[in-house]
Amino acid sequence: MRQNGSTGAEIIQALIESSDTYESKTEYSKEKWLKKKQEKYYTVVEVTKPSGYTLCNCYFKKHHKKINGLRPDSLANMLLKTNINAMNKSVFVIEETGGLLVGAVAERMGGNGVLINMCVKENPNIALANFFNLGEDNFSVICNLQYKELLSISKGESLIQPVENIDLTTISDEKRRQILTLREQRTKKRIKKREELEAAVHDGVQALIIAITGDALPYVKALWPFLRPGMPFAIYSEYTQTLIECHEALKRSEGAIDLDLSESWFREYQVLPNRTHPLNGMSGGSGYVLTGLKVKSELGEGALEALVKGTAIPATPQPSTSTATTTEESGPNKKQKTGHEDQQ
Amino acid sequence: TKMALLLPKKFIEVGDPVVLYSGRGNIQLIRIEPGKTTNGKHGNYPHDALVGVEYGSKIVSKHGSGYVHALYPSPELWSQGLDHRTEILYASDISIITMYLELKPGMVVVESGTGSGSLSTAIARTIAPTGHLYTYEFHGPRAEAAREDFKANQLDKFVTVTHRDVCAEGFHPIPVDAVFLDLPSPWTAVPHAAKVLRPNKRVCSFSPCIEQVQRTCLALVENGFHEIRTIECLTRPFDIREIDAESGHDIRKLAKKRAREGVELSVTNYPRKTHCVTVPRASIKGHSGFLTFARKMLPESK
Repeated sequence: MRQNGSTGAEIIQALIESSDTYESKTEYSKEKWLKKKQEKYYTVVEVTKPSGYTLCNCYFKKHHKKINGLRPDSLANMLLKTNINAMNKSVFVIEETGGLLVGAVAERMGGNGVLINMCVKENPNIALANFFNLGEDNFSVICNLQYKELLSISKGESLIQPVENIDLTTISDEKRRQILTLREQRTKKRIKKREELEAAVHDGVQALIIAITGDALPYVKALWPFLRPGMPFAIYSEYTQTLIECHEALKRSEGAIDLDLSESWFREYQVLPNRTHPLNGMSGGSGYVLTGLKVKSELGEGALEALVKGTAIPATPQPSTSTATTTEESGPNKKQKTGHEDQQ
Repeated sequence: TKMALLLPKKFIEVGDPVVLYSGRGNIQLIRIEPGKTTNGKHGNYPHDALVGVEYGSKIVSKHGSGYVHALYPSPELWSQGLDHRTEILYASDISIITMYLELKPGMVVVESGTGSGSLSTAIARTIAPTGHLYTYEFHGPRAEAAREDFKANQLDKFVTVTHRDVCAEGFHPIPVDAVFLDLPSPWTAVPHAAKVLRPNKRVCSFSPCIEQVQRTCLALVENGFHEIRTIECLTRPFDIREIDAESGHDIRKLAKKRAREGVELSVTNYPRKTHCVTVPRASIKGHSGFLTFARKMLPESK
C-alpha cells in the first residue's frame, strides 16, 4: 500500500479492518496498538531549532560515542556548576565531544568573553559547534589555543600579528570594497577577541571545563595556574578512575574546595490517565562529574605541579601554519564552512 | 553599575559581598563594612582584615582557632546560604530547567512562584545582560523579601517581581521565551502560559506529586502544547576514600585515631598497599519533584 502512495491513515484503517483481534482489545490496548502502527506508517517530522538541549538529546540517542557519552543532564550540571554566563570574561574548555560542549558553552555566552578551546589534538574537531546556529557574534567567542601558545602568552609574548591597514577608499570596484570592508571588520573582531584571550590568561580564567576520553589530571595540572582562585571547574569522564586521581591530587595540594564527585540519575515517565509509570527503558548512566572551586593553596602556587610529577600533556605536533595569526580563519576545521558564513 | 552576583572581582573591597566558606552547606554571606567583625562557628573574622585580600584565599580567624575561604558569591553559593522562605530548588533541578527550557542571554522569561528566589537568581544569571525575568509570587511578604534580595544583589535591573495569584489573573501580556511553573495547581496556569508564550518556545512545570503531573499534562495537551516530557533527575554523590587494601580501613581516619593514641601514622607514606575508592553516599535526596516540559505548537499546527 505504501508503494502505491496510500496515506498513513489509509494504511492504518486497512490494518484495523484486516485485524482479527482489534475489536476485542481494551481501549487502552487499542490506543497502544494504534500508536505503534502510527510510528511505523504515519511518520510526522518536526522541524526544530537546534540548541544544546536538542543536539545533546539527539546525539546521545544516536551517536553517543561521538560525544563521549555525555548525556544532557550531565552537560546541564557542568554548565551550571561552572556558572557559564554572558557576564564572564573567559572560560577554558577541553573537550572530546566533537564540539557539543564548545557549542553548548558558547550558546550561553551571548557573544561576550572568550571561550578558550584548548586543543587536545592539533586540529580540534568541534564540528558540532557549527550545528548550534549560533550566528557570527555568538560563534566569535570560540578561540582555539595550543598549550605552547598559552605558555608563550603567559611569559609576556603576544601572539597577535598586526594587520596591514588597507585604505579602502582607493578601491574602485564596489563589490571588492564590500568584501574587503567585511574582512577588515571580521579581522578587527578576531583581534579584539585575541586581546581578550591574552588579558584573560594574565588575569586568571574564570572557569575550567574538561570532557575528554583519557586521563584528565595532566590537563588539570597544566591549566591550573591559569585558573583564577575562587573560580569553578567541572571535569567529566565516563570512568571514575581519572576523577579519583584528580580529586586526590587537588585535595593533597590543598588547591581546591567544595570538591564533589557525582553521577546523575535520570528517568522519564509515561503520563497517561490511569497508565502513568516510569518508562521501561532507561539510560544506565552518563559518566561522572567532578566539580569544585580553586583556592589559593597554602602550600604554594606550584603545589599541584610538584605533587603530580611526570605527567605531562602529550606533545602536540608542530602545526604547519601558526593558529594564532588572525589573518587566517582561526576557527574550527578550516575545510568546513562555519555556520555564520551561510547567513550573509 | 556593579552587578554584584554576576561580575566576579579579584580583590575584596569595602562594600563587596563575600562568602565565608567552611564546608558544603556551611557558608556565611557577608558584606564588607569597616570596623565590623563576623562571628561564626570557625572563629571571628574582622572585615578590615579582608580588604585587599584576593578572592579564593584562605582566611585564618582572628585568634587562629579556625579558618574559612573567602569566595565571590556565585548564584550557586548564594543559594546555599540563603534564607529558605520556602523549599528551594536544588542544583540538579535548576541545571535541567536552565538547559531544557533552552535559556540563553537575551531571553524573556516568566516564573511563578518566586519562593526564596534561588531559581530566579539562576535564571537572571543565564539571561543577563539583555534578557528579563518576570517573576510572580502569590504571598505578599515573600514577594517583598524577594524584591529586596534582588535589589541587594543588584539583579533588580533584570528581574521584576509581581505580587499576584497567576492562576486566577494570568501574566502580564508580554510575549515571552520561556515559562516556569512551581505552583500547587499548575494546570490552572497552563492556559495563561499558553497566552504569553511565543510559538516553539517551552514551558516547564515542577510538581512533587504525580497527581499534579497528570493534571498538568492533560492541560498541556488541551492548550496547544506538544513534545510533552515528564522526567526526574537526581544526583548520586560519591565519597572518595583511601583504604588499606588488606583491612579496608579508611587510612585518614586511622591516622587520626593513631595520632590521638600518640602513634605516628603517615597518610602520604602509608606503609601498606592502599586503594582509592568511591563509595556512594549513604543517604541522599531521593525526590524533589517531577519536571514536565512541553513546547508550544504553532497556531496552524493544532
